[in-house]
Amino acid sequence: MTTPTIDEVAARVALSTLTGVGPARLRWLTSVHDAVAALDELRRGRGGPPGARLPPGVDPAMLHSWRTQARACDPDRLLAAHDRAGIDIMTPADADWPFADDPEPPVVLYLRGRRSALTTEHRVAIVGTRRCTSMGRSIAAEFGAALADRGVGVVSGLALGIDGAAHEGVIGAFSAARPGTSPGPPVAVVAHGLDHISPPSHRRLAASVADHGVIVSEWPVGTVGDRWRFPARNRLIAGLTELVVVVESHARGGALITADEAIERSIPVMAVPGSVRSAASVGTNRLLADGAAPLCVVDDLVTALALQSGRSDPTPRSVPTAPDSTDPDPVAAAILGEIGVGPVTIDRLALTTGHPLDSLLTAIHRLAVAGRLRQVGSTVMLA
Amino acid sequence: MSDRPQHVCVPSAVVEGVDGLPVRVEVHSSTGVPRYTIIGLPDTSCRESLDRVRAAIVSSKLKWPQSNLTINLAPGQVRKQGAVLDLAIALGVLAVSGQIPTAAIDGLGALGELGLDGAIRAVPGIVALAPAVTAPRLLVPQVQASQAVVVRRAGVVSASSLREVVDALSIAGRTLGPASPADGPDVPDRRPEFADVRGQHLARRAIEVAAAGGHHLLMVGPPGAGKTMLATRLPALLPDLGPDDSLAVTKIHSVAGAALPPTGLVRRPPFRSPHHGASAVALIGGGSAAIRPGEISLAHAGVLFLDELGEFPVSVLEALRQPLEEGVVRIARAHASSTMPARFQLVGAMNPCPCGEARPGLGCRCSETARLRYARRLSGPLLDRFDLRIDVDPPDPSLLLDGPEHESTAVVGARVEAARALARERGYRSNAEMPATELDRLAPLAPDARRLLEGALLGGVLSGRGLRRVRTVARTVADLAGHDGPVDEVAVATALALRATPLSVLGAP
Repeated sequence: MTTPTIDEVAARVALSTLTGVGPARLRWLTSVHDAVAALDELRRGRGGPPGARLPPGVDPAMLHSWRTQARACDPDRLLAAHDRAGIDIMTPADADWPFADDPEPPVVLYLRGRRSALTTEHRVAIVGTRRCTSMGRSIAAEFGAALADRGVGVVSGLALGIDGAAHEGVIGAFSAARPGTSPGPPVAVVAHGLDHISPPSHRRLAASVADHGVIVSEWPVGTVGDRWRFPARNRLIAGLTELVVVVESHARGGALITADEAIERSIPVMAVPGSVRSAASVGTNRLLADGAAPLCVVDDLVTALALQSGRSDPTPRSVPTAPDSTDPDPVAAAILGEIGVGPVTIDRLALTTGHPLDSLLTAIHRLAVAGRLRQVGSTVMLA
Repeated sequence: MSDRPQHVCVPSAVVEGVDGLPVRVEVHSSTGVPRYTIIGLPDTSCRESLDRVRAAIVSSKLKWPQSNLTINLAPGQVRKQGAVLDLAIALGVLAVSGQIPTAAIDGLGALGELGLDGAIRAVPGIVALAPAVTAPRLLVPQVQASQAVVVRRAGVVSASSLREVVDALSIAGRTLGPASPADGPDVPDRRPEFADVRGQHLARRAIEVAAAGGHHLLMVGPPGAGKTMLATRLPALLPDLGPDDSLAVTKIHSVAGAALPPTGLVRRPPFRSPHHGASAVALIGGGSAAIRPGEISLAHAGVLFLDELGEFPVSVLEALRQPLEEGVVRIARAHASSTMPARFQLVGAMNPCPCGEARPGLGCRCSETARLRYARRLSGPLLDRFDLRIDVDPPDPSLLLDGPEHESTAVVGARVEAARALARERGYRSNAEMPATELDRLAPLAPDARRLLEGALLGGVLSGRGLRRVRTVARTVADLAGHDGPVDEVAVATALALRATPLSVLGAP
């Protein structure tokens, strides 16, 4: 017989392997007393609080299948499997359990990486759509790097698009960090078991995240990322942070669920304003209309978190605050004046400035070499 | 009947790849049960010749000999295809049966397909076939006489029916008409007008530079931005083909059965735009029965426009790399192999992403995965062939209606021709063919141009690999401005602008 605490952990792991069990059902099952009792109830052919009605969506057949699985599973073997895979397990019994005050805490938390990353002083979520624009990507990466640089833990979902860009920004802050300083650790919350990584193209990124921070999940090894697990994952992202930043979101999407979960937990939500013509900013602009705080520059975040000013690079790169359009060359000055408002195509510059193409191109590339603007495709924008 | 020869030989030719292969049609007659056989690796279409020839002879009020006929196509190890040997077989049969004097067909080669009524029909590839026939005189279908004359100055005669040939050969005083080159104007010059492309300053410049330097061009832009319109203007800006190219292109087009201009010679650079559904064989060339030129050979000395580049199968795109490198395409099959010319200028067009609506800073409907998958279709090595890579955005609506008048095809074409003349003086057909080792000598940099390039390299705008391409393009830009000396800053800036980091889809964001 193992010690009672181990038993409780093993029982929680065992319960989390039942098919079709989500956070709410798990809490229903464990509401009898503790996980050990809940597993015992199932094994005896019962389940859930005595006399209670089945939660919505659970029919007797499902309960029956849980009973069968509960009898068949070997909690100690499950524990050993996670141990072999190098996966750490946390429960509310742990002193550093991060969901102490959460209304919908997970029953058990699986981790790969550093546990300490969950208890960083400040933690901010940067989330957004998979179908993001290149601008959204670069903003997410920039904010990720800037927050990490200030020692803030950045939480995201390791998905394609904004999430991945935010993590990449954080990882970039580690490689750019001066010796002696330690950037805020990355935290990735995923909707599948930690024995694999989805999407596969983020395997290397995931390895870096686990290296510098932590990847967490509430599901045991072997769990695939079913659709219904993603909203549940988003609530964990909200639950782990003190501020949620939505960089880009379509009219519907997981990032808005994260924002809703944050609002339920009275966690402030900030959104990056986007063009009204960009489909990838419809959701974020709606959040702003609904009262979310606009996030334009990193300093807004610093203010929101009441942080001290950054340790390096206090002026963020992309602030469009009154760009310096003075230049001795009249063509260059005209170009800088035009792109100060926003990216402009070269054809448009030819039309509005009236300068011939030759002198425009020469001026553009002189300015590009000077690091004052860059050409992307046929479009010129501030560097 | 004693003066009948037992054996007659008529020179002819068949098409192999884009060249003519000499073939001797031997007809042998012997006594015995009347029958006829054809040997010497004829394929099905060639085997059918005998039935056509028999019907044509009978229709022409001549006699099919009642003897044992053996028709041999030499050399025996090469597979013969098509109906081009019909006329030669008919002449052989008629000579061996004494219906035309043997002396009359001595030294006479023949090319042509026969109709059942005895008419002589055109054959594909006459321009390739005519020089291959080893005979002092050559009989060709009348409709193709002007084309045959182009490649074979002397001894070309023509006829439109078998009866006409027999009369000319057997009745004293009648002769076959000598073919003469067609005169009169070539096809009216209907080049697309460059001035029609409005707005699009950068894209217009890219097309002009591509035309002057022979650089491959990639255009990325949403549907309706004008990519196809721009591409069709590129061949219009190119100068007429030189005599060698003109002959080579005519030969390829003749073999492929494409329509030739009335004068017989293709003088304008061809423009081919195969659909992205095209198979690898249709694009590259090949085929199971006989090796036929593909679109890349048909675009030889001209422009190959691949619209929706991202939709072409990856295997097809990868097959382009060898011809792009060598200017010829080598095709090997179990029964034959062939090398065909394929020195074409590649113009690719694609949408920025599958939905075609991506813009910097604005959204599109595609997921990142879909965008990456789309971009990944262009392998690095293929993408690297494009010296010029531009984004084409829809033009400003105001310019479409009443913008300023742009330069015409004639004006820009003259500039292109002058620039190409400068390249020829340096010993290259176009600047795109300048080797990297010669850049320091042929495209030296003015001090301010060098400063700009150094800055671009230091700033990471340009890679070492891209440097060579930019210098080559800068040479062309300077040539267009009439500067033969060192490449100046404007030229380098233009070259940099025309090879800008493409939209995020084509690489890292």
